[in-house]
Amino acid sequence: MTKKWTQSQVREGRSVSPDLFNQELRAQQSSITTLDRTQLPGSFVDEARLKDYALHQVWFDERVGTGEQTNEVDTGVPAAAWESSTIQTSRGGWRTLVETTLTGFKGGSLFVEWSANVYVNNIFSYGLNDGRPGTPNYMGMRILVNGVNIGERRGGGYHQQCRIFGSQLMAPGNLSLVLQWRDAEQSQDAASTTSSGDRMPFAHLWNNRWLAIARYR
Amino acid sequence: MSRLTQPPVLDGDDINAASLNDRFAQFTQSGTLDSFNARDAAFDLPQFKTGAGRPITPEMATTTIGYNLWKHSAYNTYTGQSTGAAPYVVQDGTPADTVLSLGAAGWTINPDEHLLRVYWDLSVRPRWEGTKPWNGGALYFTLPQSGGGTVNVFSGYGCWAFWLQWDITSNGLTNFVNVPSQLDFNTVVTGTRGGNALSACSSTSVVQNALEYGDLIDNGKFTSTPVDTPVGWTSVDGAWFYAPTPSSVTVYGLRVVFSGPFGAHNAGGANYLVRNDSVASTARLDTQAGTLQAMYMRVK
Repeated sequence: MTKKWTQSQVREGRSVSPDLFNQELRAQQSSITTLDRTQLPGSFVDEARLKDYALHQVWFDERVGTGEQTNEVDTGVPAAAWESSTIQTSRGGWRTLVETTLTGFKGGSLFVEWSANVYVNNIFSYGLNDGRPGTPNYMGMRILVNGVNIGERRGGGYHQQCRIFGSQLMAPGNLSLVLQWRDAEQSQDAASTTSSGDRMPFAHLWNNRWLAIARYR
Repeated sequence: MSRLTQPPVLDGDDINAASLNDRFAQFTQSGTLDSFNARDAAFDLPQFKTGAGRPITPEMATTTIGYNLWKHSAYNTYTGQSTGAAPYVVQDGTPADTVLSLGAAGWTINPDEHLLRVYWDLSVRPRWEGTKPWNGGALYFTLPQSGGGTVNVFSGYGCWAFWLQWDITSNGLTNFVNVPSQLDFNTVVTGTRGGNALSACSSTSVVQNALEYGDLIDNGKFTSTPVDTPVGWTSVDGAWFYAPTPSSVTVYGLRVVFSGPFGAHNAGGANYLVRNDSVASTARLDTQAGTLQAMYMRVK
């Protein structure tokens, strides 16, 4: 493995002083005390040589609970519907689906991916009195790391699969990861019940899973 | 460890071989590479091993699935299925099943070491034969009309469902089964209709199969006939990952399968995606092309 002298080359008969050595050693701290790419041969980094968490780390949840959001579960919906968010249960704003800690983050690039199927009720999105230009309802999704939004999407407007991801350079230390959803608020023209009095479902997320990958510097 | 721990050379110190050797001996690299002895940005692509022993992401594979004709001038068409049916496999123009082979040796995914990640997409067009056929199934809400009476409106739950199957037997790729925590929607849930609890849909993605909404709804009441618009060509995609526990699993191939039409149902505190057998014969799904990609990566 090559080491590079970056200050001077010692020659026969040259006078030396203590500081000459200090300068030499100090100058090499970046290239000798730790290895850089000029000192490593090609195809050198493999599974066997890498210590765990040397270059990357992965956190994940293959399925968040049963996969469904449980922030708002209204049991008064019709049989041919899902127990989910209704006007009667909706708290509005961002609801937290996942709140966890990415333990052992060592500094570098963080990538977070969240996927889910979403259901959004758009039957009432074009109302006579709502003052909006027929804007479809949708499911907002966002990813917060240490309270900072690193990815947000307007999200699905139908019954469909959605995926959102974000990445950010982060300083070393445990990270707080929060995944949140927010459905479009219903207007006064949205019916709160069916004609038989069952509550009208408006939003749901299911098959939720997330993945976070750290690539350390 | 390679960090310098010797104090600096000071005025009056002896400069001798032992002193210098102590310092330079610390430059010797030993042990495993880690963030302590590898400098920031120490590794670039040439340093990463390829082939067997590849770090971080040992293997990746991708293939085109479906009918690969991007002009959409020709496509495959499938009719809705009833309870008990085996799902359709995404097919090419032949039509023959399209699958992702992971090689003769397959990929061995180890617990607490690897994560299998699968991503796919497919161009599809859900549609129906006839006029509002979903009103013959459990796919609508009954809502009040302005001036009295009621009207049936598509609930939005109606969909086609797509999920993943894998072959963990051999690279013959003749033994595909559903991936873990994914069932086939044939367990009877209500009446004679099969379905899955949403918790048994681990790899399922859906695409809505009709669009119907109210035109100028007035305080929750319909003032006119609900408006229908074709879904048209759209896409469906999936993202699934799996970490085996407690044993390793060797995966030889993957494929995307689908069925429909499905709708919502709840009972006993659980939500289900259930078949709509009574209107299945009128549901259609046109499919075009997409991709199926898989990788497995080390988690540490």
